Amino acid sequence: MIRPISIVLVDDHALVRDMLRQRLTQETDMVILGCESNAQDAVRCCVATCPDVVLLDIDMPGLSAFEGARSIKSQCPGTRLVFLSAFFHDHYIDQALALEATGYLTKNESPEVVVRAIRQVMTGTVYFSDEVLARIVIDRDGARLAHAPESRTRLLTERELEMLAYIARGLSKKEIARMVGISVKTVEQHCAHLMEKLAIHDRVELARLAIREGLVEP
Amino acid sequence: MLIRRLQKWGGILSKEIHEHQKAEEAANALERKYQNLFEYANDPILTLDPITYRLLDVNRKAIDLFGYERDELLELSLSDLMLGDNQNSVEQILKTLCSRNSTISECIYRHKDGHPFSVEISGRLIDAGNKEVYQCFVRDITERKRFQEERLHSQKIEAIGQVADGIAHDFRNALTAISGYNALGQNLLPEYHPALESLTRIDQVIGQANGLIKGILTFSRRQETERQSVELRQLVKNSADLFRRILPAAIALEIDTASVQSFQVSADVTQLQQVLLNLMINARDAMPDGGTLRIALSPAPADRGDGPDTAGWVRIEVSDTGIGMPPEVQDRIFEPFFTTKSDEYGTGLGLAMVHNIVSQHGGRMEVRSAVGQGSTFTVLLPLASLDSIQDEVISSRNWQNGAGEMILLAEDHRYVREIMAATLRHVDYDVVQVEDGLAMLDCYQAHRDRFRLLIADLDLPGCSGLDGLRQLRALGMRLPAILITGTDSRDLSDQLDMETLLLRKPFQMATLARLVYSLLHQEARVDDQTHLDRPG
Repeated sequence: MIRPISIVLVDDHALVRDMLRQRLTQETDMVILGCESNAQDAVRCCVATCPDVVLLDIDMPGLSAFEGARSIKSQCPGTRLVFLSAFFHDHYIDQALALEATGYLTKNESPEVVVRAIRQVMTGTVYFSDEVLARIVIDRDGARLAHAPESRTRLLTERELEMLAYIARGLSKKEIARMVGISVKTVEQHCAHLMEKLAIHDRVELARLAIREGLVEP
Repeated sequence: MLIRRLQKWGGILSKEIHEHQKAEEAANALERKYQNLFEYANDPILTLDPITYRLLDVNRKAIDLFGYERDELLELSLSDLMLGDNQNSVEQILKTLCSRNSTISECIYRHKDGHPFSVEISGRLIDAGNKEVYQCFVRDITERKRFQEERLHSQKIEAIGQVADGIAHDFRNALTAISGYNALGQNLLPEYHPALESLTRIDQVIGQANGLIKGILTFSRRQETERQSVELRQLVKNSADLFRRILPAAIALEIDTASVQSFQVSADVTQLQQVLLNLMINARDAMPDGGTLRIALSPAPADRGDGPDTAGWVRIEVSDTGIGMPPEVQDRIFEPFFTTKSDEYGTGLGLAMVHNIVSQHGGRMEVRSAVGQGSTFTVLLPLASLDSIQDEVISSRNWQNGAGEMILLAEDHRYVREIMAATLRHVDYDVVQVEDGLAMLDCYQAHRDRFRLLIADLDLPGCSGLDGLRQLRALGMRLPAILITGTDSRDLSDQLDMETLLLRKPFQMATLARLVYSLLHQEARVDDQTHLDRPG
């Protein structure tokens, strides 16, 4: 007997999460191992169950989805990452590609597309919409998004981008350190670097930039 | 004795005369210095009578600023130059300047031709020898004020956009759940159940709601645009033809593109059509009793004040002969949710969206209008650069599908290989993936009659793409091939046969799709030398 595709669903919107759970459980070749509402719980659930696929919403409170995905990837290398976002945002897609995600879907897609995408990524390939595929550029380092808007945030490292998103959500350095599992001093160093690179030394202005750049939802 | 005294007094007198002459020369030099400073200062300077506020002296810059001749200005008082009846304002300003000693005040003055301008004025009461006078330094701050207002306006728009974006986010989540549950419900019902029609209607409403979200996102600048090279003259013509059908007979439509041959802009064609249609709809609605709707395409004039130089840009003007707008409406016309139409017809998002689309394309919007004399909306857009024209294929709408031809794809980078395979499958090719050169040789041998194209990375482990290809050619393989390289900058064109192309990284998936289609349909063109090499 063929083993069903094991899935962990992560979305802070209970309506969406429950609907997807109901829809996916109708498929005889799929089994839901967990439904979580944030990235921290998603990491815990994935480490405990090592699912075939984790379906991750991007904009969730708490630990960023990309940070969670990075942790899942390192601890469960066999788990395929499929992002499910409300929108196509260049920054989101770029970060998903940097994490070598196997899929990126928007919530505009029907649940049938989600089912199809899960089956497709299980065949060892990726699932992106044609709009995203057309814009992917292959370069020496792998895949990235073409024509992403040029902005100052391009100067930041992945970690600094994470920090910027947390600052924009109003988290204190202590809270960031606790959530990400690093020291406050390290958080302070990241913050100092990103402020220097962006030439912005005001938390409100940083938050405005992060919202404008699509790093966080307002 | 007397002679000695006379000689002494003469010496003193002579010394005093000399000192007096020196002092007079110094005073004259100081006066000339003052006059030079006054006359050639880079800011306008006015000297005023402290009681009548009449101008006693003005410098060249002041003459330039107000547009009057010097003699004309010396007939006027400061209040004559202010906008409206401002006698009290003049007193207030001068009192403030004197009491606070060089405090800066802002006020609005009037040029000789009538146009108003904002100035910053500073000064103080000075001793002019026989009497005290006000000396004022004036600075034209019209541009600065306009920039500040535009900045405030854009911050306001940005803030509203962020709120709208947040609403759209939650709204889409709710729609996702509704849509999903609706699909679940439809699956549970038998084929001809009467409720199915209602559930299908729900799907249609969800589609409309998603369209509304798209509109909000366009306004809040968060929707991704799909750029391609767009020929504006044709776009204007097509949009006008489309719109002509819904114009009432009382409105005449004029298209003027005669002054241009061809204008290429890098744009999202759907969004530009949306801009034109919105402007045409507004023009139509502004002419309830009929009139003329004119669309003109022309080169933009250079030097349009602040912002980027528009020299070499293109200008689209949509004009009507309708009811026009008062200045207070013009000031708010691009604000979201501002509308002069009834609730039934206007959401107040149309022109806000137009403004944002134009901004997203690096362009600018302008409006001219007068009540009863119609309105003209001007869109200024930069022309496409050569790079963006070459990137025309970025649009997925240009992709051409294959017919299930089988492609052997050899690439050792798993993620890159999967993305390339997904792209090729998306355009209906059948892809077999291998991760090293030896597997490529084996796989080809096993299915040699089924493959139509080989795509191989040059640096494959086991056996390089080039070596593998040479071996396959030696075995009689005549398939077209694409070799991909990211690190090898050597000119390999003399090592490639006529059936092989070298594709250099970075390249877009759209480029790959186009290239594969061209090769399989015998239309291979070497038209992008930065990416492709062919035997010379």
